[in-house]
Amino acid sequence: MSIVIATAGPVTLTGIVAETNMVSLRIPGGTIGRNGLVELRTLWSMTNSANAKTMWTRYSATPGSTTAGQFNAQNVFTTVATAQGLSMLGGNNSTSSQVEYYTNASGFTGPYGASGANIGTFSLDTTADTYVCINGQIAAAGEMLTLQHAALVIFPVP
Amino acid sequence: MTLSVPTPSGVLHGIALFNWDGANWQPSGLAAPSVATPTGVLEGVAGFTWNGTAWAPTGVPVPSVATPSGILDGAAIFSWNGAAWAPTGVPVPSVATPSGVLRGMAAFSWDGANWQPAGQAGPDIPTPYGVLRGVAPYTWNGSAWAPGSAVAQDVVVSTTGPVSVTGTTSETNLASLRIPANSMGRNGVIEVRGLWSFTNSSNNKVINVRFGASPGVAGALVSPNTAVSTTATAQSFVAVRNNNATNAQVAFGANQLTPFGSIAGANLPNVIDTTADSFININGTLALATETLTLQRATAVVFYAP
Repeated sequence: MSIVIATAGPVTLTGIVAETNMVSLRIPGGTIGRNGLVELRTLWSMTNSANAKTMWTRYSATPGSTTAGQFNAQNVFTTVATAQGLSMLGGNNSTSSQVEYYTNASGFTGPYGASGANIGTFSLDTTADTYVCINGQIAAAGEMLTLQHAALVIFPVP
Repeated sequence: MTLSVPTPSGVLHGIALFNWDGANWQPSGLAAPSVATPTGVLEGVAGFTWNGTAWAPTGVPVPSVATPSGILDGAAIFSWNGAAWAPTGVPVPSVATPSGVLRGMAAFSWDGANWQPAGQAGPDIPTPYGVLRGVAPYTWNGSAWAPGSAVAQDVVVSTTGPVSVTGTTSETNLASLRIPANSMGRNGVIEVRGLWSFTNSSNNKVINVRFGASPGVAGALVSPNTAVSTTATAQSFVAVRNNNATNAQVAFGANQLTPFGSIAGANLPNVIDTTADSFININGTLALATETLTLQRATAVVFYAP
């Protein structure tokens, strides 16, 4: 049985150019198990312009982090209006070791394929609460980046 | 003012629950003859259970147990109430039922023909899985509301740590994920996610996924052979869908590193009987035996659909 944790309405970033936490989705302690899988699906909208809009997702023991290890490589968009992403990580036969596919080239828009990058690793204790922190950054403070919706799906496996 | 009621066993001064003793309606506890039990003489009626050595009135053999909601003299199912383990149903208000007031919750079980509350009668409720006598949580099964306990939930099957192939150029099974019988239904889908690492070289490392009735290098391909070479990692996705039958499947014919999009090729059919256990077999083949291909982890999620 899967567990779904989702946002409750859009969140918009504007007026600040630093990386800013928009949402932190809590993964309850003990839900992943040693071999479970976590999938993150996001839907975005943004100002369609030449200025960079950057999306970061980080996996952290605390909410709101803008420095923890990345759930996937960041995505940078300019002259587009919307984006959709999928990324995932899984337990590595341990509640304190996780692995992920980490591709610098496409971030969450290329969840499947082959990459020259190494497997991404984490060492978070998933018997305690952990957080997927979804952050945004805009190059021009007058523009907007909106996380329309995000959903975490946890597939627990002991 | 006390109500006096004549009964076959004397005048009842008050109110009592009545039971049918086989010949007459009798106040509970007065009608039945004395019954010797392993825990003393029972003057009345009680549910009996096997205590391991003899049939005894339910709950009597169990010692008193301190709980957050008081002393429990008997047996109960415990659940987490958000702060502590407590007997199930304690916080639940009294519920009127055709067989009296239920203070708490009752377990229901399938008696082979109907859903029955343990030891009690209930109203008959037709469901897609038979008659429900009592109350049960309902879940949408894709076409109708059905008692939750009768509805299949999604099943998650995963590897338990990395598995590598090296030293051979033959197709080698790296993982066989068992799909439990009847977990798909006629229109369910299995989704398989794999995370790989391998020697970064010009030599091919080939990965594939087969769906078979047995584990190992068995079954037809549900994702074509896919070669990786001068990269280091990969992530893959395969979907196997039952095609309105429990023994007919169809899968997208593209390789598992590009699982979404369109191709000129035909879909991949299969004829595995999913009313029996079946297996997602994830395999690898090296072109050069001294290199290494590792399945870091794989997870199959089975979404049931009738």
